[in-house]
Amino acid sequence: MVKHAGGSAQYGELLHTDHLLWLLDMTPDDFFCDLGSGRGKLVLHAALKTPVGYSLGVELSRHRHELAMDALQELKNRGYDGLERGGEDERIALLWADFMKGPFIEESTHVYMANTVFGDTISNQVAERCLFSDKFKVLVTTRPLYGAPWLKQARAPACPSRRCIGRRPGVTGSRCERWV
Amino acid sequence: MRALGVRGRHHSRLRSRPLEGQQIGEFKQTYTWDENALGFVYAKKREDVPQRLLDAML
Repeated sequence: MVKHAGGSAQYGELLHTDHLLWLLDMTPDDFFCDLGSGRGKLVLHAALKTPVGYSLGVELSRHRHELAMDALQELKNRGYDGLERGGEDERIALLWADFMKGPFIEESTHVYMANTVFGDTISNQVAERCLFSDKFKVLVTTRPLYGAPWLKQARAPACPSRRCIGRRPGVTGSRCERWV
Repeated sequence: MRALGVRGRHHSRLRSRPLEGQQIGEFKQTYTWDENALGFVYAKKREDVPQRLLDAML
């Protein structure tokens, strides 16, 4: 199903999630969405450790989604606080869906997309939908967006690899494979 | 493309170069923070980016 939708079955575990969520500095008014949430690590982490109003994860792979739901159920069984807001509304949701076929991006203020194995087309479509969303604030990706003529680089970071031959990440038209 | 001496779409700088007149919004700022985080941040406006994130950027 993942391949049928144009995705990749490759999976990677995220590191530094705690640091990332601290940097995002989300408030109860914010809506966090992880596109391709996998086993729900970042979504659960956001709900547990940040005051974000709503944490949503959308995953296309059924198996990974079920693992994420198991993790959520386990947290509820252990009685973790913070998964519900005021004891009434749940502030976390894990969905088995294609994130391109729903209003997930338009509802979100903070969008995270681990697009290391996503194609440029999907990544740029997500960025474009963020652009036209009124609620949108920040999009975080694991790979720079290429090929979108309306994107401009505000700051070109130096490549951390000493063996890089000079192509810099994030600069439109150049790629640095060592960066990702 | 052929007339311009470009061998293919992978060799084309025209394909990925920002083209004037095609910008459709203010969504144009790209940031990154420390090398361990491996992330890139996009926002419509700089004010939308949390200060912690701005401080941590390269």
